[in-house]
Amino acid sequence: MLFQELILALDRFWSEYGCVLQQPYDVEVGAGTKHPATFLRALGPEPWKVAYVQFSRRPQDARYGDNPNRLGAYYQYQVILKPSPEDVQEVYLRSLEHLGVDLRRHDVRFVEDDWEDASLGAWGVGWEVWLDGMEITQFTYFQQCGGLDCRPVCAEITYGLERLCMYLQRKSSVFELEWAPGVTYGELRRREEVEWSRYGFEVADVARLRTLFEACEQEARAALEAGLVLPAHDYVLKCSHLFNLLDARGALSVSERASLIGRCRRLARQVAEAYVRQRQEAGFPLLREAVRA
Amino acid sequence: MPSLLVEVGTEELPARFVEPTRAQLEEVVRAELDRERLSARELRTWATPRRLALLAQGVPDRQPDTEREVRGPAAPVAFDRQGRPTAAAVGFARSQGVPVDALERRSTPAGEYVFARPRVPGRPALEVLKELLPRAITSLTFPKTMRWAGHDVRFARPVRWIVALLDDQVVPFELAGVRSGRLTYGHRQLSPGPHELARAEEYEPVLRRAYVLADRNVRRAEVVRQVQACAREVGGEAELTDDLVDEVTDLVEWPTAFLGRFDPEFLELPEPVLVTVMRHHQRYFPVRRSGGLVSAFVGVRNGDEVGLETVREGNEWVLRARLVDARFFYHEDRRRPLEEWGRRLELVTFHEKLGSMQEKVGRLVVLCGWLARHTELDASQAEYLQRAAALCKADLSTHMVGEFPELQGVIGSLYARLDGEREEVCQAIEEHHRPRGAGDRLPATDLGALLAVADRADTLAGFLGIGIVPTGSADPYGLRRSASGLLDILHDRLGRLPVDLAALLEVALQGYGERPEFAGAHRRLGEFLADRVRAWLLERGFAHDVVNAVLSGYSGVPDFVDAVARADALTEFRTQPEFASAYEAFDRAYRIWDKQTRKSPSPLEEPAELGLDRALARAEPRVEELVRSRAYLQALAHLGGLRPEVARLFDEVLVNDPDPQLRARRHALLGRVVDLFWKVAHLEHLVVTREA
Repeated sequence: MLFQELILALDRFWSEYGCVLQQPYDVEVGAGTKHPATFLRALGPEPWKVAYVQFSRRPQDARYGDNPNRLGAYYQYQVILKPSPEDVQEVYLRSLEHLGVDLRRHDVRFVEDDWEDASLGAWGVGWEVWLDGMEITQFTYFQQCGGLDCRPVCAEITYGLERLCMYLQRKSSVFELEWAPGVTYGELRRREEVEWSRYGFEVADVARLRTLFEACEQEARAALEAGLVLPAHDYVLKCSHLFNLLDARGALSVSERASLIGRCRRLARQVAEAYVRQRQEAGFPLLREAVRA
Repeated sequence: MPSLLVEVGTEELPARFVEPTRAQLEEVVRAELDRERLSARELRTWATPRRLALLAQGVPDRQPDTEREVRGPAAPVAFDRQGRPTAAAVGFARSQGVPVDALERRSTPAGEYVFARPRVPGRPALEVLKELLPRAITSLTFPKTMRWAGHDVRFARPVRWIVALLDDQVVPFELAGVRSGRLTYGHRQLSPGPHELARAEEYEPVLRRAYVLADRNVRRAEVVRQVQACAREVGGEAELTDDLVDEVTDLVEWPTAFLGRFDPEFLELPEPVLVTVMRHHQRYFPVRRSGGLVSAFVGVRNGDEVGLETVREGNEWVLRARLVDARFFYHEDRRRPLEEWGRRLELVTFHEKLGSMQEKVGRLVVLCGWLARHTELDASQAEYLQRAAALCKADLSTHMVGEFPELQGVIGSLYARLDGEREEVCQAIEEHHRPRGAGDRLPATDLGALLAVADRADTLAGFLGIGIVPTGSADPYGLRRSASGLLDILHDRLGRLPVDLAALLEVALQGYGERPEFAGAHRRLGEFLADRVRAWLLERGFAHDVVNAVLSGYSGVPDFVDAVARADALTEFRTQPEFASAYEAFDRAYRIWDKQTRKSPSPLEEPAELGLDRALARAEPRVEELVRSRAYLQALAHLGGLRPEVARLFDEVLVNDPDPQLRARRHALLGRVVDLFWKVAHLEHLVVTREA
């Protein structure tokens, strides 16, 4: 199965399940969770089903494109089901069958693995899903987001597309994956890995990044003061990405890390609260829709 | 008598919760049944990652009837002078459903009253159970719980089905939107079900047919048997560590082991790396032959033999990817010696206000130099210790530790050995991380212990120096753990390698040089360490009052080795017959003494005064000498010798004489008695119950 076919197959499956197919977010993020379609929509009482691909940047994991299994950025396929359905595990397993995995001939396990993103004040409980010993999915029941309790709780399913595809294509290097006929993953992404590795580990200017962090933090505050939730959220994401860059650069001490994370988290909480207020003022429109349906 | 079956079907529980929860379920249901007078003859429990189940055999089908006691009217109201029941008694008896002549008269503190003992009919078991079971299930506790969908119930993972049968009858209740019934589910892929249970007793056989080995002991034994059989295919032995066997047992409902292989070229990787990858990351059992690892592993699949070849091949492929990774890191790391990785510590921050790891290492080398002199190591040992200090943090910048942080120290030690460092140096590098937590092994060698001590002292001095003090449950840098590890090690080496804690921390503080933000550092360190020494002594089982008596004698950082010696002596002394007289001498003196007078304003005259003065003059040099040599038990015994002269003083003179001169003379004597005791311990903190 080609890389692009994998995405198509998941899109098809989750679209048929009833998800809104959204598109990747255009601000640098470390995970699909940070996309407003997850971070914000997970909040408040409104039901929500969404699926999308998210390019996710992890500067610290970059390896100059040398390591066959490590990437400084990769693609997540993110699904949010809110409230978490009773048969959510079965639905997930059906999605694997839809990808051609014969569950009877493989070994699928749900192994405890809880999740936390301290910079978003978000955490959840769940598993990593193993297919024949390979971690292919992170499965999480969100308990808190932006420091607020999730009521109802949503289920988050995050497929690691490269991992899953390497397994399906039996490729020993991510760069050998066939993305499209005759075009490899390496052809599309290796240069990017090399350049961002050099940037992140050697070139990024620590002082300037710190200044940028401060500036973005101020922009987030200004947007919040003006009651603008989404611009504020974007600037929180930028803060969080700048934090990741500083961290990868080895520029942060334990306590400075904690302090920057705390600053991101406080902003994320304010964004979360502002978002819930905004939806409440609008009368939680999706809740009305659900009742009508 | 009927059997009760309850099964809670869940999404996959964390493996580490399964067995503790099974035990808890048994305990909770047993207690609930006993409380409701429905005690079962026998309980059986089962647990897998997807279910917790219990079968109670011989449950009564209803509670036995009981009596309760109800107080009625006062006796004079209920019975007339002739002892005949009045209308009040008749009405009361009727309201309680008992005959009038069954009423009892009994006196109470409020006067004589009439009592009835109506029978309370027992309720049918089914009625009781529909309340009892949900109560029991929701009372189960877990290290971490969650909510799901819109429910308020908290559990380890979502509850998906519940079976509750009393013989063939459903015990009806609802929990988190799930209604109890008679449908259970089998293995996810092999026999998902639902499977209907006609009777409670069918549970185990039905599950077995549905590919669920519900009995944990059976499943565990099966894992062990199969894993060993696979290892024997390559003539080896599987490394069956208990925690991994337990974990694997609780990751599967139907275990099937398989032997996988990897390319022998990976055997060039250090053993701890191979084992960590297999065991911790993949939950595989490593295989050994005559001690050494072989290029094979045993995995356990949740399922049967169908497709086992695919599963094996998949797992081999995954392990290969992991090992390729590890080898990549290993080769990158080995391109330069460990010492050179150490130079990169400049880029690793210890703490923003305390500088880099490289600076920390610089301080450790100096501190180890001091420790070597302090403990009188010979020149070569001192040199090895400082060498180990210089290298001990170098592995932090290696790829391997970046990937496997749990191998910190192990990797440093391994690389040091490959670089041809002395064995003592390599061991100290590995050991200085110990103990990693409560109950972990302590460093086995002196050099490892000293390096560990230096590392912790430097961390405590630095963090407390800049004012990071743990409060309540907040201790983000694990400073309390550092301190208790430090004390554990010091205690472990007390005899052979005594280290003065206060001096050590003083030198550690000096290591940071003059810094304005270190203002008040001595006070913070002193208070924190005093608190930690107290906690350490209490954890070791020393009595509260003994600990108070000992620690009151120090200001600032207590001399830990000394405090332990004093606490030991005082604890021992309390059990000895001499204790009573020594304590009496101290106690009489301390109680009356004005707590300040130490100098006599005029020469002593009375025989009793002179007698105590002579006794003190004899005792003082002797006690001081014993204290110097830390023979505290003997010092205490010696102090007991003051009792007769103290008693005589009280018998023969009035201590609080109206004449201020005389009074001061006697208080000065008592002050000397108290001071002499205080050289060993502040006995006024002891809680002593005197016989009446």
